[in-house]
Amino acid sequence: MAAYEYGKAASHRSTIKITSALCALWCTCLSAIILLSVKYKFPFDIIAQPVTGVQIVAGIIFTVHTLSLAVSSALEKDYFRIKPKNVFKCVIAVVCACIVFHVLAILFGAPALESSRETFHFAMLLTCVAVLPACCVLGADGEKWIAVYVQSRPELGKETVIYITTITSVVGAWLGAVPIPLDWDRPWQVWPVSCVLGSLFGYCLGLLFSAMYLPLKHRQLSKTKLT
Amino acid sequence: MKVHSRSLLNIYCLAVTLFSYSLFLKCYFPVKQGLSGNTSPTDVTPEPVSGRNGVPKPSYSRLVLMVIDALRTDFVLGERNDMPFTQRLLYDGRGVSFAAKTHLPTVTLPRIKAITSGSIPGFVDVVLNFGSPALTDDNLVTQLVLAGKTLTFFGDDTWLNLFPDHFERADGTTSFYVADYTEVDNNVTRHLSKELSSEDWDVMILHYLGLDHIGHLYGPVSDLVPPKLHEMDAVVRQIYTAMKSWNSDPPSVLVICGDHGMSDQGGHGGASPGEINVPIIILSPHALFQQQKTRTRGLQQIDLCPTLSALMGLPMPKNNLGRVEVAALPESTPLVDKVRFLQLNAAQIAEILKENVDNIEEDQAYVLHQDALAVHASWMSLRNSSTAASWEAVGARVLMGYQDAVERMSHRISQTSTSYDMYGIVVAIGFLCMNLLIQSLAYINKEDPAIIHLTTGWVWVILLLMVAILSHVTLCTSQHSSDIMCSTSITSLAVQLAVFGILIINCVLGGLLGSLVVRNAFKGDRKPMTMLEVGLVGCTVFHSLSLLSSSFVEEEHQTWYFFSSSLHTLLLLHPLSILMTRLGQPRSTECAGASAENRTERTSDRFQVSSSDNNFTKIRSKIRNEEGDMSQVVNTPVERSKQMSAEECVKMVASLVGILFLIRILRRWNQTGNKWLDVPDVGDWLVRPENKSYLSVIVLLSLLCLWTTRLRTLPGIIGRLTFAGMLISTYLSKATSGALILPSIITDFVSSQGVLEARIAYFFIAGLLVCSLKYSPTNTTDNFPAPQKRTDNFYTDCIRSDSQSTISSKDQQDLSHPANQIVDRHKGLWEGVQVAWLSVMCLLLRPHNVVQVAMVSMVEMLTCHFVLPFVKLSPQCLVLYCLMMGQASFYFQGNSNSLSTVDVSAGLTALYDYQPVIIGLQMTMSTYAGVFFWLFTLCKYISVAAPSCHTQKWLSDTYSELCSLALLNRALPLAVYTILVTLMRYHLFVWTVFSPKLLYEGMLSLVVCGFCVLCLLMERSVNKISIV
Ligand SMILES: [Zn+2]
Ligand SMILES: [Zn+2]
Repeated sequence: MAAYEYGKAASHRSTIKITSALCALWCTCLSAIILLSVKYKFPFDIIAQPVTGVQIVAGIIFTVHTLSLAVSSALEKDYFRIKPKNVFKCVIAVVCACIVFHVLAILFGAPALESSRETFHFAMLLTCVAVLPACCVLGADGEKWIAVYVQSRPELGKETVIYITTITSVVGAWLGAVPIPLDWDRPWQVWPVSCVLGSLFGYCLGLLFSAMYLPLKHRQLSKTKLT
Repeated sequence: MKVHSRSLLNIYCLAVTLFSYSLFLKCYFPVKQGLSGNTSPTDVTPEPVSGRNGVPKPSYSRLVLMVIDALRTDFVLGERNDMPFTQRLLYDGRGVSFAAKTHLPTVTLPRIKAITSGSIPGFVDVVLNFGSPALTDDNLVTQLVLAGKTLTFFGDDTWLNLFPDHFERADGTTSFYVADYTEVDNNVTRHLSKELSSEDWDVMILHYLGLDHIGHLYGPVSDLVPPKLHEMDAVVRQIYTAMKSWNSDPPSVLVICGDHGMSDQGGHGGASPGEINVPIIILSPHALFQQQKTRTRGLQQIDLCPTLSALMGLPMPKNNLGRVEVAALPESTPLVDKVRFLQLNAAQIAEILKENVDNIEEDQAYVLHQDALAVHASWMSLRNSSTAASWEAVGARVLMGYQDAVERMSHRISQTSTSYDMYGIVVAIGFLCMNLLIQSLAYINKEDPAIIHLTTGWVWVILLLMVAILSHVTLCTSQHSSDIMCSTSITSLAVQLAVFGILIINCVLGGLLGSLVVRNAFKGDRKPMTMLEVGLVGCTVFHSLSLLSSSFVEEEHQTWYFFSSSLHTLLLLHPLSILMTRLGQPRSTECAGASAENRTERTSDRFQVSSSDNNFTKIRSKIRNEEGDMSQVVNTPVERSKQMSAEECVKMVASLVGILFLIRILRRWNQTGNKWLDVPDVGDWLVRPENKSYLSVIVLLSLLCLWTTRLRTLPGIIGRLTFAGMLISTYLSKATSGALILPSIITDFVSSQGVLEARIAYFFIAGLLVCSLKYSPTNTTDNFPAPQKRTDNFYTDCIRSDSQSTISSKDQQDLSHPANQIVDRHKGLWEGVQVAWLSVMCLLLRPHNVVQVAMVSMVEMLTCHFVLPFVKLSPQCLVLYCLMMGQASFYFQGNSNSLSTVDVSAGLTALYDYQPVIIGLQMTMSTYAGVFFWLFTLCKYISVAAPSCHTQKWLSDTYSELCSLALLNRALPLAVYTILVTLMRYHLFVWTVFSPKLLYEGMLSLVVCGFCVLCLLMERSVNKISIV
């Protein structure tokens, strides 16, 4: 198994470097946008109007991922993933994830009937950062999903990135609920702003972490094989 | 020296926890020492220039003080028109009204003290609210008696305890019979007509309790409030009309006030606007009042005391911190007298200030007072040389000057006079921290403490003792001397002795355990923590740290709700991952290489599958090293999915989702805390009078649900019938007290107050307990195998059979196995106790919370049947889980960290008269009902987690472990929180947020300690079997 992995790693050295660089780039862009919008309310104000903010951010993330999917399948000449049947499966998965996140948010204490628009947008954003990338990378292949998420043995590369970012963004959203009860009366404590920001920061941190983790892990793997 | 066993250590830790926490409370809530003695009317500061001595002539000679318990400001002075007569009089200028603010806590006894003595009573008076000792400080009532007035009193007997022998005639009604709101007031009013026509008294005090009782039962929006206010208005009319007919030469006055308000939920004790705003109304047919054009100054409740003193021409009580309200004096009072009253007021407060501040001459507030005095003097000398108008204008300035001075000085005093007993506080915190350290060391050190020997170290002990005594003497002679630690009274000496003893034992124990832990630190392989364990421990630690923020204290329920939801979501991952593995199994097994094996191993470790005891874990890992292949196979997901069928997985997922939904409904049942208190909740809606039928139906349904779901656990027809009888009598007792609907056919057969039914219910509960005690492990006649020698070989056997039996979970081990019997007996015992406790909960909690009982019971059932058998949690996890759920249910019930949510009416269930011990007990039981339930559940769950061999030893070990874990779980927040409140003792929220929480933490610790005693008893009783 290790040999198998090593062989794969050796052949994909450049791929891993590119993935790591792309992660870092994407992380920088996204965190720049979020920080700008939090600090200077530019180009949009995610705190005052979380719904619009989420729509824009989710749109950006969605576009980037679908574009990268298109580009990578064009480069790898692997059109299996964008077959209509598989795309349809992925869409179903995304919609289901969105509903599940919505219900979970309510179970964790979000208002059940009031501000359901906000709750839904939060669920949508969380889906965009936690499930959508996985759909783009893993496609409709259930086996891969199980290998990555259940058995937690993602391939070194894109799969590791989505594995890490899914965990960090969900944890970020979870931690985002912590400051809500504080009596500071800040605008960002209003539901769902803190959770939206939490999941976005979690996503960015996950990207940053995987950008650093990938080359390190790769070097470690190749070293153990050489000695 | 030899430490015999873990249980000895547990008892010691329990005792130290309770001792040091009580020491902390005693030192943190100092009983304030006021100035002693009474002010004499002749011995007051003379007036400047004129040299007039004594108090000015009283405005009135007869006074009726009418205290209406829990009278909110908006009941009288707001928009509503429920007291038309009083409002008319105020409109006509026959009186004045003020909206005053009370201090904390808003509980009757401290507030009566505030009204009569003008001082700010300490927080600890809440506890004394139950047994009130006589008020020895100078106060208005004593001053009235000293002035030769004749006093009569009717109403709450708290006054009679506070002022024994002060009243010529008195009739006290007890304030504790909350269920009654008619008789208490009729008992007061029936004396009125006779008293009002007799001339032999000067002061009459009335204290009406009915409104407060209505508040406790049904809240301020209840339909019963307007008729009660009308009734009070009629009393006002009666008194006022009688006053009119009296001779107006010594004029008379009627003062109406509330002792505290009532929160929007109906309780009191906290700091919500409804609770701290009370009206003060002064009515007199013989006097005219200034129309209040400007009401700029906020009035405090303590201002009532000096104001009444001024009205009655008395000197201010010695410890008064209030200010004479000039607007309350009749218009006819000469300006010189008004100024004179304030001068007396200021002089009296300046005396207290001198006691509290070191260099008084430089104190800003005191300088203000001196300035006012100087202006007063110059004003008095100008009296005959200036025009009336300009003289009055200057007089108004003098008044203002005095008022400012009084307020500033009073503020300054309340800032400085709370002297904390720092020495005692530091000692208590030190012990709590040491306790935490010792318990965690004992927990880390799994070695049996029986092998601990103390061979050397006596020199160190003697040295330590000498240092401690030396520093004690130094501290006691320095300015940090403390009452409890340094005096020579019997209690103080006992405390000092205990402190030294504990210090020595703590140090010895800490040293021993510490060295053991260091020695064993690198021995043995410790199993890495599972994800669940990390989550549970993380939540516990986070909760303790969250207490550092006042808003997290106020909103503590959010913390527990969030934890419980998160935990169940985390548990959800386990069956989901198995399901997914099963789905993807056929193809994924082909490519399973060595590395994959490695990884799956790690995944499976994240969910602890079936390691129940650390002893076993150690040995098990030893086996794993020896025969690595076999144990790895057991733990791979493939094997795991064999252990748990797909159907079981689906069931587990469904029940976890169900639990999550139930928790979500429960948290919306009673909104509590502070930030979202106003959000409408289910409970509020159900309690509304128009929804009485819905409430009845839903209560009936939940009782039925309880009966059907718990039926299985009850042995025999007798137990089932007893349970049914208990539920029926519970419903009847709640229905007869008016909260639920009852068919008219039954109404003739039931008593009027529901007391008899409640007693019958208690009788049935006792029957249930007897039924379940049949299962007590001591009563067994079976011969259990003698305890085997502890050999690894035997254990290996045991584990093999264990793992085999879990693999083939369907064909259970044969039931006649003694180990199974003992587990069954345990389970039966605790299930019986659980049912009995659920019945107690139904009886004691408010009607709308009966539904909660059913839901919490459902959560417990789901966990027990569909979750725990598959995710076998270690006892450590179970303790944390059950304590967490207990805390959550505490808040589900509508409790909070404010005193106003304590349900006083629950204490009076099944009682005809006032019995403080039973009331206290029932109040504790109802407030901590959820915590108790989950603690009993914990005992039941460990029988689920028990291994199939060596059960007896395992059970007794686990009971002792439960005890130490529960104590450890208490030790952490206690240590953190006492440090926090000590650092925050001058914080703005110390009385509103931090102090009530301190009392709640203490109470919870008491409850948990009671549980620990139970555990130790169980440990003994389990051990006894082997002797038989
Ligand atoms: Zn009261
Ligand atoms: Zn009350």
